[in-house]
Amino acid sequence: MPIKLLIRRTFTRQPTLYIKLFIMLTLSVMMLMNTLIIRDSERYGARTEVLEKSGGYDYIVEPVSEDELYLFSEVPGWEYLDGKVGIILPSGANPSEVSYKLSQRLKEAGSGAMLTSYRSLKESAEFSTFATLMVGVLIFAAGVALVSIWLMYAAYLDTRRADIGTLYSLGAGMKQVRAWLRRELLVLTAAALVLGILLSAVFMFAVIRLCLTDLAGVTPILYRFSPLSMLLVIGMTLGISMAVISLHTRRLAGMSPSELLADTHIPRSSKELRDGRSLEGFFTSASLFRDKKHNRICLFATMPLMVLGIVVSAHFGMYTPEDSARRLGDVQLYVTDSEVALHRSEAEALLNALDPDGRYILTPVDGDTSDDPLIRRMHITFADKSVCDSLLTSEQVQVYKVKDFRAQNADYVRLYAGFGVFFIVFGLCIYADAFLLLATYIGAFLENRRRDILLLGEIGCEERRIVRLYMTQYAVRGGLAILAALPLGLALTGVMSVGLAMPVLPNLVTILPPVLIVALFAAAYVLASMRTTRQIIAEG
Amino acid sequence: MIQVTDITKIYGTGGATVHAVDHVSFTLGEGQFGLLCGASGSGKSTLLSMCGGLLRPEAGEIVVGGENLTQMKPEALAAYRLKRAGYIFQDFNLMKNLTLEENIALPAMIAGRKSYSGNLRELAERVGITGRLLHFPEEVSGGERQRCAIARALINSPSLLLADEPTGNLDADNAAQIVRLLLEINRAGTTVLMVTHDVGLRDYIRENAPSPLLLNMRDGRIYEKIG
Ligand SMILES: Nc1ncnc2c1ncn2[C@@H]1O[C@H](COP(=O)(O)OP(=O)(O)O)[C@@H](O)[C@H]1O
Ligand SMILES: [Mg+2]
Repeated sequence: MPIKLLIRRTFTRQPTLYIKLFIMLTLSVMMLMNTLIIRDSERYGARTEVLEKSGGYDYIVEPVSEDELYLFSEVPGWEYLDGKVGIILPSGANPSEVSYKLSQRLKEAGSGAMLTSYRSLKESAEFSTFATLMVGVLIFAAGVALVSIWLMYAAYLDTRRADIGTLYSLGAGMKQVRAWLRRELLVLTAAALVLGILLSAVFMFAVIRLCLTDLAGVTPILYRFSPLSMLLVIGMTLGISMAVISLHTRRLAGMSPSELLADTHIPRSSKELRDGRSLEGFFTSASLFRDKKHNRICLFATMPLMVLGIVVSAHFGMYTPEDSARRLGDVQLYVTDSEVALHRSEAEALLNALDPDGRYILTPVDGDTSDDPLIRRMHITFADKSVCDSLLTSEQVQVYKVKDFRAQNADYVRLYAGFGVFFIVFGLCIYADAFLLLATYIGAFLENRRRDILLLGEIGCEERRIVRLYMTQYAVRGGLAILAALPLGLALTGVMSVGLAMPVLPNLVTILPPVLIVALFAAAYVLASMRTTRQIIAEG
Repeated sequence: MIQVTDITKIYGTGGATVHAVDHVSFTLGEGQFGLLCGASGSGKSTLLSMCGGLLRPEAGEIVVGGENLTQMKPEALAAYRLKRAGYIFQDFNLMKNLTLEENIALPAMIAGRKSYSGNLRELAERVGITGRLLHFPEEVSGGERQRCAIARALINSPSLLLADEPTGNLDADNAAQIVRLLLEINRAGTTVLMVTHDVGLRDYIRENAPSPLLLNMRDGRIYEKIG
């Protein structure tokens, strides 16, 4: 079997066939790799942070003077470190028992030393909820990869049907054809793996270094590229490719060469024909009613991703922090002693003394409800930044512990931007997949209608009109698919909003992505039908 | 050479079935030139595909050179197509990404033959496309494409050549050349079974082939055998 020849000739003569598959594979690799890199980086950052703070010890007790060391006689695995004691518990020891007894002894002896536990921090670094979330994202990405490569490959095989039929008819066996298809996809997958992994490494490095590193206290993320994760991505991608190949070729194996070479004819009804019908209307309704399989594919490629886009955007919109510049007047005011609370009227009097016009918003924090007039912690937003500054320096407030929230808020905005970029790129991969798939399917479908399109020209239909005929058909088909997705997306958003007990805010994050997604799908329908029809007419 | 006994092919399921080939039997001897004639839709292509191992009949038997096609496993049937039966299609079915030379060599490469270039050159000369070998199918005329397809069908020296309206897409001049070529191949010893609905061609072949067999088809049945 001349496998190399077939691959080389396809590459030089019909590169788009391979390029589409290659892009799909690369996007899949990127989705998987990006997810694993951000997960590895978070775990690495968390571990590094704990290690830095704890110096590797499970507990640190300080300050401890040398004549207090007798207090540790019963503690296993302790070490004196110049002013403090570090403890690494041996595997048999019971941590809660040791820490409880030690605290008791220190208290009884009247020592001022404090025991800090890093053990639980270490454990939480091992089992972080973020890492679990990312495993979920990884599984989702693998599902998206499988479905998109599966569908793309089906479209690819459709365009190669005649070639496969010819090879069969000339006497190539199923095994030989399968070997050719497998080699082809393997080469493309290998190339996609190289490019995808490289792009992911560079991209995630940039995101993490620019947005997420140095956010100590907010998030511990340090760029980490793990060879093990890379192997996992290679394994997953190859596995997906091979699964797609073997399932598709099994379907092919059941077909005879004649079937593969023939255009199948299915009898149709003619109930759509009415008097006085325009060509555009007839064409559109005939195609919508007859090409049901194509409708399903278009709907399937459009609807779930539209719905997903609406719901995810709404969800992100809920959590969007306000711009740091706009929150420069934010402070948090704590009451020093938690036994004492400030009455709401006292707090207001204090603030009115600073800004008599009352241009501030006071929000109690930490479980204080509006029916509870006692406030232990409050969040204040001032309209005027200078009032905020005078609050921080005023003598009246010095009795309370005032925390300046402004710097931290900027950090949160950066954190949000970092994850935002990750998820935006993740989403872009998915939507690029969908665009490519939809355009390919529409192209392949119209390619099968080549004879009809050329015939229209032969019987005197103007070129512009032919293009318009097919564009109208797809504008309607796409419009219906998008319209079908909107109510479902909005309904699910409503359910989510009620479930999370959070309002959906009509901000940029909620509205812009769905609008862009609608534009993307609309463009896929209109551009693909226009381009393919024009191309077929030009080729004659 | 070919012994067809009572074969039937039905397309479609349920109410909309077509008996494309309906209990057909005939025998074509070694070295004979068989002509399968009939109106469009009478089942000629379906019958020929089954003889070429491209399609399996619902019932009946096809025995070629002592081997029963209907009982073969898919891989054995592929080997039959590769080595024993050359097939020529009305619309050529060339691989459009391969040059004419590569298209001709394809069955030899599938068979894993080591040396075929001498054979290929000789065939190309015989069908008259030596100067066109490095072109792609879309760059040459229909007649040249069909001659390329004939050379491809012959590269593994099959003892049986099946041709489904090989001149159906060609003008009269090219059609005549192709028919002369097929007659020549038949005279050199290859059994040929050709489908046509062109009366002129049919008569020309009956006059010029050493031992012609004419099979007339209508509605999936052979109603007349002459030869
Ligand atoms: N793949 C198919 N599916 C359904 N019907 C078919 C198929 N191929 C051929 N037919 C029908 O079978 C009959 C015989 O077809 P065919 O063998 O191609 O005739 P011919 O070659 O004599 O023109 C025709 O009625 C045709 O419509
Ligand atoms: Mg036919």
